[in-house]
Amino acid sequence: MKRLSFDPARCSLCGACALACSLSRCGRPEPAESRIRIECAGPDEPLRSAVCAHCEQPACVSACMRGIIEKDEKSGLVTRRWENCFACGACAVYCPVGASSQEPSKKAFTACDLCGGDPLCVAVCPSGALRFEEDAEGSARRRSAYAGRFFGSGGDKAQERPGLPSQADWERIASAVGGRLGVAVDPESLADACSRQRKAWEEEGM
Amino acid sequence: MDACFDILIIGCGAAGSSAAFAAKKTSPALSVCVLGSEDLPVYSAPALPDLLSGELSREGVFVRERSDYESAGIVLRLGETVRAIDPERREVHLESGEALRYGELILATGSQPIRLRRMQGTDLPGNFVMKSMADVDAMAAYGGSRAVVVGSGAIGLEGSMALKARGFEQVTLVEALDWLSPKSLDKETSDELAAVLESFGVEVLTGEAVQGVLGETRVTGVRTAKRDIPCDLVLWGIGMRPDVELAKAAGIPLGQLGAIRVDERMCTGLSHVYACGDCVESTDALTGKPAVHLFWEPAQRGGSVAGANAAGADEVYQGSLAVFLTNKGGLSILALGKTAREITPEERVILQEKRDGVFRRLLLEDGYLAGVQTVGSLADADLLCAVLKRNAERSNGWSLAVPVPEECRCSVRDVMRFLRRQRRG
Repeated sequence: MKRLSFDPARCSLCGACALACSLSRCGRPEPAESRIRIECAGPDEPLRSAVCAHCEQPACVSACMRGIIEKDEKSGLVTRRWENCFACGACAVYCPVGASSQEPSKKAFTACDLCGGDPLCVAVCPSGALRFEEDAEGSARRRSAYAGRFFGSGGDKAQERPGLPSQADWERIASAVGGRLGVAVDPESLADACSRQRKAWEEEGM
Repeated sequence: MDACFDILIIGCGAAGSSAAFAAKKTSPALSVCVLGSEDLPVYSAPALPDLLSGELSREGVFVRERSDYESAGIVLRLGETVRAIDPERREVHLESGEALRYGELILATGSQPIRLRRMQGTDLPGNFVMKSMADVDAMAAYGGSRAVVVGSGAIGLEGSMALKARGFEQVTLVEALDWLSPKSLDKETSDELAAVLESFGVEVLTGEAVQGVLGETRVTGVRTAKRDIPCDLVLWGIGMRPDVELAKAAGIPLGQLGAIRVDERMCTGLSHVYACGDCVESTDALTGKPAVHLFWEPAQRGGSVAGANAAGADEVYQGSLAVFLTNKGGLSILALGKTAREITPEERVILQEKRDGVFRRLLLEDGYLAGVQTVGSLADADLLCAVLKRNAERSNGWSLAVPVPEECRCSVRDVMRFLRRQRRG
């Protein structure tokens, strides 16, 4: 199936993915409402994405005490009828990647549903760190990146984090978000909100 | 001619229902029948406190509807009590006199709340437990404004919060041992928890054993070692016991803890008989020792394994974790792994903090994270749970467990930072 994949070496921690996610979920830039989180354990530490992996044997499905999380055999998607969630939190405890969290506006635990097959976070990611690709494609790419780290020029040292999006990037991100939501989005306030998101992530890791 | 099913399941709770659906999924051609003693399809027992408080509607507690079984091709027979199992003839005898034949049998008989029948006054009207929907209905119909809740496990904690939310004026939680949930929590964590309960208006009394229930024709109070507490009703939350009567009578071997012994394929010691859910003894994923885990997650997962295997698959159940989790009505507690008393003092490092209203206590054993207790938030629960599981594999020799370095063993913050850094990619 097609899943989200994350390349930590390309991520600038700009925050656009989470911002776009929360805007599309609840209409405001609210980090706690985002279904994707980038974890940053320190300035020189590798980044990590916390987002639903739509596991083959999802721990959340058996953990859910309301039976509202299901793995669709055909599409591979793990879906949840969150309207009926009673927020027991078991999905969050058992999830191996930290993809399930409580969305304050819904009082429910939710996780990424891949926007129904066209994830907005991927559409806005300015550096190509987030992709939406077939498993085989992603694993081939990760294998070659791994090999490159050993045999290429970079070695296995921590790489420098890529630079933040340019003005032109912010304009593209704003128009992608605006286009999806059918509203006008101001690039500058988007960039501001993203920088707040980035700071929050950096502080979380401290 | 008796009815005959390829797979017959006794019990229509989380385990029995998952077993039925897993069996059908594995092998759709097989005939599958589920027998339930309550006249209700599977519902969420952990949600019963929310039904009691009024937070959830009756409909909101059900996990599946009758029609779900039907459309999956599962025969659902509710309100049926099983009298006996005859493993020789592969028959199940119902209270009605009917006999059902089976190819494979799955026992998902669940557990029963412990009742102190010999204690004075426990037979009076006004004594309640909270295991079934009928228990909640009875409590709601009984009414009252003052309650004593006995025991501080999940039922005691969530039950007392629910009664308070329901509008009871006085709710007193009584625990005989020195602090709340001592199997899962240390005293320091219990103190935090007690403060939260008290902020919601629940009075907490620890170290007070209940000696009797007072009343002539109905409950009027509870007598502890220290006082008499006037009340209208008593909610007993002093533990659950695996329901193994049928299994025992049929000669199905029990384990050392008194529940049905199963192997990793959920097979019992008797051929053609599987078991799953609260009635089985499986393996604790952290200690590797036999354990009876009366939780939803192992019931659901174990049920799926039992159902699939009974239908011809070859799945393995990897044991389960003892998870103490409550997250409702402003009460958020998580406890995983060992408590301080389970780690020798020489090998033990305990770190604790309270920041922004969140209490966190981490226990290291020999440098490895071995226990977690939090009050106030489930943040980072996934990370801590994953690390504990990984560390539990330490004894296998090939595990990826990493000890917390000496220099990081100074504070909760340092440990969390280290663990976050460890978790890459």
